[in-house]
Amino acid sequence: MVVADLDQVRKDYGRLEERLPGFVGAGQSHRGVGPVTLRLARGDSLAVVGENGAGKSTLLRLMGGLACPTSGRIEHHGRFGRLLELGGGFLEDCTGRENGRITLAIGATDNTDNAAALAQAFEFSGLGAFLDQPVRTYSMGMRLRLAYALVVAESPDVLVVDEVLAVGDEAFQRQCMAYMEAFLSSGSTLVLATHNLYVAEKVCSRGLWLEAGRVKALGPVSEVVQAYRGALQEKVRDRRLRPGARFRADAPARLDSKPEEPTQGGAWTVCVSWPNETRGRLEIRSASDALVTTLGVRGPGRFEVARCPLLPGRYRLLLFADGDTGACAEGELRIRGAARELGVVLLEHGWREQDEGRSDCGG
Amino acid sequence: MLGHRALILELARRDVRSRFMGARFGLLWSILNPAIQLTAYGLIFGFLYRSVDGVDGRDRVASLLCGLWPWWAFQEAASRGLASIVDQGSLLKKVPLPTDACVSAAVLSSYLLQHIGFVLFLVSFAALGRAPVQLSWMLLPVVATIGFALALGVALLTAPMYVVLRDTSHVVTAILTVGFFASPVLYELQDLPESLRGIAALNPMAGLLGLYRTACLGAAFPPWPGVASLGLTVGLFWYFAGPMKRRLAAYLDEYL
Repeated sequence: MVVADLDQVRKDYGRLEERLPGFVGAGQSHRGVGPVTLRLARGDSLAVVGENGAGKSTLLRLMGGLACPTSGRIEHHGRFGRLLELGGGFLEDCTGRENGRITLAIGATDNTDNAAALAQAFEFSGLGAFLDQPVRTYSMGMRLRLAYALVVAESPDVLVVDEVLAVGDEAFQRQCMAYMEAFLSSGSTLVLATHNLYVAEKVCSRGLWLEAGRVKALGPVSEVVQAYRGALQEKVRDRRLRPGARFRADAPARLDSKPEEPTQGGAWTVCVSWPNETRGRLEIRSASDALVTTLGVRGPGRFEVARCPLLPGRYRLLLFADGDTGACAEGELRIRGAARELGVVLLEHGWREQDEGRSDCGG
Repeated sequence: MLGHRALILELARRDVRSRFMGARFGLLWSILNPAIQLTAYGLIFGFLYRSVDGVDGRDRVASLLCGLWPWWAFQEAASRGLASIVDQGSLLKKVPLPTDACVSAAVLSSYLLQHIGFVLFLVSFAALGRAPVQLSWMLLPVVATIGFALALGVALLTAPMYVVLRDTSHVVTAILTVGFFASPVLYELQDLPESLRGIAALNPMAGLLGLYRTACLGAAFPPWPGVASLGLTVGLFWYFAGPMKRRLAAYLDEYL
């Protein structure tokens, strides 16, 4: 059974300004999201990923029926629960309890008794005595708890959740994850926009990657998330590297590794050439971009490592001047060797069997 | 819209709550403030009209009551209705509600609240012998409903416009300010010079306020052009509200 059917859905912003001359701030319209063609069936779980401004929230608002598409067609079937905006929508001076009652009364499409659902929601929220305090005194996390509990209380068929869970504390996030998993296993549908790729992969089965409003990838969540993660790393790398930052073109920063491909356990030298008096640091990062170590740099010079402890594999060297966020030089580093240990470094060590009758380890 | 009546009532209750939350005297203010204004106008006009008061059997202050308070009800309902979609923006971003329901709720709550005060005062005037209880009071719910329909029509048409173009409220405020003096609020049609009376009677508000005075004070039925233009105006606003809403529906969410 299809719960949401999007056909070439597109949302543009600023269309009205474009059409009505003399509008304040008249300008060009821009793409919010789309075109998106997508069909969600019962039991589907879709993770929407993408950078800030990629159109995730716009798409979720369209899916949740809170926005009209500029073109294309959307069909909704079933009860939708939405958790898209935090903070707004409550009466600030009313207590959490009163807001809960009002919210459910407004959301109720039929005249079912809300009392039981409400009690359940208050229980879920875990707000306890705070429920009798005005909502204006709530923190963002508490608002989230109340809002989430009220959405849950409406027992939706489809849950549309934007990146709001991030403000909840660890315990509540776990509670929400557990709820979402139970929710999905009962055959309901979930749409989740998140920057937490781990959550995306753990909870969802399908993935949608948006870039500048356009669908970059749509498919099994692991593939989509992997592709997105790769693109993100590429971007982080690009941002970090700003060749020649702060330095004149005739005195660029340079990193040279000697030998070019050192052997694990062998001698290794890195030459730093940059202007005199410049201070900064050299970062060694693993292939997965984890920081291995930093080394302080004062002016031009070279590091000499007698026995390189890095395990065989690929690394990157990044040179930063103090105060800069971008690296001014980058170098690839490949360590040769036959060591089979996992990780990034090999500690120089010895191994001694435990002597009979006594232990050096206090055991 | 009748299908949403439970929602409209709930939203109206919410609206009333949000307006008086945090005010110790809450609802009382919605009666007290108009009462103070009415007293001020009553004192000034009572003094000005002392010479003519009672000459033709009319009580000027009672007439003022039946002009001012319905006008306030209309003005408040129309302007709060106009702003209602924007006011409920944070709610509309969380729950998809029909915008008509938001507008209706705001107009309903304002119009009802004002009429609580109005009826209270009307009864007090009756107790003082200035507006005797009469059979025509039975017409008051009908007249009030017509006034409500007018305010709602104005609000339904202007509320979506206001979302995308905030100038709308300034234009409406200007029209209401002129309308206050151009309509028989502080005076009655028969107080105008003969030459102006014909044009002034075409004003739909002349029809509405005339009907209020007929219902509450047993005054003569207002001239038919006023009543006809009232009916026509209500019809026009309601007729154009639908297309306006449909036209702007795809843009509203962008501006909330």
